[in-house]
Amino acid sequence: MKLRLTHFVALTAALVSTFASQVKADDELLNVSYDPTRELYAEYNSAFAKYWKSKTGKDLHVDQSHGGSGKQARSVIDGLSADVVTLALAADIDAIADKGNLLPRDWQAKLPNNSSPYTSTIVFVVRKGNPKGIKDWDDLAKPGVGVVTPNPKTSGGARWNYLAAWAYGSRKLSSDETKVKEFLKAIYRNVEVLDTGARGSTTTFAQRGLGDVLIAWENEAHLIAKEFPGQTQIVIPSISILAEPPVAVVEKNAKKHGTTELAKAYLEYLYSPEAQEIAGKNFYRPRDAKALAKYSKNFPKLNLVTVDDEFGGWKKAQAKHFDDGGTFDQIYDK
Amino acid sequence: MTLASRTAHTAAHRLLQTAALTAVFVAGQAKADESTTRFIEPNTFDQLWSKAVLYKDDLNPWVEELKLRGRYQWQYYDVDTDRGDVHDDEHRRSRFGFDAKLFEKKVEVRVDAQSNDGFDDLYDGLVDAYIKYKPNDKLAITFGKTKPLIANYDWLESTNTQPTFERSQIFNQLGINRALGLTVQHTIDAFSWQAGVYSNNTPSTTDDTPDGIVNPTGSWGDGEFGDVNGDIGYSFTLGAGYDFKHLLNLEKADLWVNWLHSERQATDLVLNKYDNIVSTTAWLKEGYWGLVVEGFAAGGGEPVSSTAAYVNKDVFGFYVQPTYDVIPKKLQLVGRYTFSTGDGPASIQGQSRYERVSTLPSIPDNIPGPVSNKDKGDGYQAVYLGAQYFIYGDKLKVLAGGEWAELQRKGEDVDSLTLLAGLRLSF
Repeated sequence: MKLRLTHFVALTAALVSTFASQVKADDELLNVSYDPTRELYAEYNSAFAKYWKSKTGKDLHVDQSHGGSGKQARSVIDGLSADVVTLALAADIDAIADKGNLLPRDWQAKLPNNSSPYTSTIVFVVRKGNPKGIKDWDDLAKPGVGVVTPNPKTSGGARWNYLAAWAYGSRKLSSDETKVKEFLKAIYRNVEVLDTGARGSTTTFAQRGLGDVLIAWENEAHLIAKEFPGQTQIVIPSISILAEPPVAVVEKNAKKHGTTELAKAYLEYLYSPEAQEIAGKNFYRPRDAKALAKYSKNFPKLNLVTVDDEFGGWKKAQAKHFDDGGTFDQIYDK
Repeated sequence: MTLASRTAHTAAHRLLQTAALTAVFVAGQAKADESTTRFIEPNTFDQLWSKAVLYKDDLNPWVEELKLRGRYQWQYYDVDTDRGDVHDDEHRRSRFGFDAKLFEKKVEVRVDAQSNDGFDDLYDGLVDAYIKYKPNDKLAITFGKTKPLIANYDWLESTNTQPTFERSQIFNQLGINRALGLTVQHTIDAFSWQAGVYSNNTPSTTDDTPDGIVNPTGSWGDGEFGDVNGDIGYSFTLGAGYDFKHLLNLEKADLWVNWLHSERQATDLVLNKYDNIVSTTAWLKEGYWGLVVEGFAAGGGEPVSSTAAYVNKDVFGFYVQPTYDVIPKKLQLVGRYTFSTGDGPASIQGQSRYERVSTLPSIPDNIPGPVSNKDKGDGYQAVYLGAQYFIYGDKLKVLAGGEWAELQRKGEDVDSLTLLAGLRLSF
């Protein structure tokens, strides 16, 4: 018995010491983000790491997790231990606050501009020469037009796409909700593939060559143009939506990891001139006027509605359109 | 595009293509950024576990997902008691089955069977076999062989996610097992309620020989559905819970009270030990710490006929189970203190794993009474200390621990120390 006990204790101690040695000395951060921000944060992380090193003398490693915004929020609620979240829309961070209680419900007041350091909008990407003559949302509802957009149940970008189309339909059809639903139904009848995230839809359209038009984040549209030069072109619809992707410290996780100061600094630095420049370079609309002016050629003036004015805020928009039984469930024709 | 061709674009396919495109996009920057940024991509375990998903298409209105499910737990035990010591290993849990999500994920079907130690019988009883209707994420109605709704942590929380090898002695004392039933679970903001009605007739046998001689190979209560009519008893449960996490500013703060009432008959096979069982559960989590406190009171355990085997006097007990994350998501320490006491001299029974494992001599039946009182006493306490190392979360982990237990009998306390090490896998 004594011999077996000794072996048992030694084995357990060896296990514990082996795994305890995995604790790293450098600063580390987990940023859980939405699909198309990979390039933005790859560049931003390098810039922030230099800043952090100069300030603290410490090296920094940032782990980046990307996926559909709604799906990412669900992962954080289920235990993905994010220090910060940089998601596609406020409703997804609200869900982390409500269901996970991992940050306060007033998280959006913690940083300037409703915690959205950059904005974006929704545009169309079509094949070279625009063979289907797509100019506005109406054209997406025409028979024979192949539309690519992600699934609003899992993707934040997809929800912006849906609301932009709704805003157009609402104006065009005198706010007759039955007719607006029919309009949305016609568009989604043309959808060939509902990917789980915006990057998946980009892949479907740009690489696999499916569809005539991709409803995309503005930054994603420019990225396609950059990576597949001459193969696509961007179409600006007559009306779109001001997308404000928010960021937040997941306070309880950061506290647990001892990264609160680092996480706050990481998000605050997004508002610095250097970070705003990086945002503009990566086709996100900077809040900083100087950076915005520098990249203004990429950001044509659009007629933009806001989710607050048009839909009464994200909580209402989410409940009416995207929760189970909402308008998306009603119009999506399987 | 047709539904069939949409279906062909599997999640894995899309994932690979997304990764490929991302690689193209990021390639130019990777060299400069690789020391700072690490992209989290699906790892080997993710890919391996995803093989269990046989079919998935969120847009198919009839069948959204078909997934194999299973679990396996191997463990080694070394028991040192006042009556001797024994050590061995066993295939503690081995189950296999499937989950299906149907009709826009509003209907779920689960079927789970089990094997026995050594896999002598690949099929050795039915575990879960139910259909669940979930019109939304607030309401669930379940029909079939399922868990009676009591003891929100020790029973209703899957052992896959529990940090100990076995459930507590006080829960195991109560004779609760799966039964054919109809349950309702409903959440309204922070308040939840649940209720169910069950047949007490789930059989223990899975192998009747052709000559009609019952040859039980499954564990108690692990047979199929049983009867719902005839001279059998029935039970019902009623419970209420409240989510205090926002009020207390904790990551998790659930409080539940559940009541099970059994209209027992002499022929009942499950839920047949007590007339009434009440459980209270407090489950808290914040930062590195977790805490579960669960209390039980059971009464009305007198025999329901002159030939009934059980004499179960009133019992009361609780356990307190703190956890601490040494390395979050990797290494967790767990402790558990269990206490139980009963009215009669033979009202409390030690754990079958492993304080009264069959290879140990029994505590003699020296308590007068109509039925066997071997291995029984009137009080019990135990302290478990252990750890779990997560290889792939709760889906693949190594557990190790030791439990000291004391069964109190009149003038004779029986101590035991059980050391355990094991591997738990589930998908």
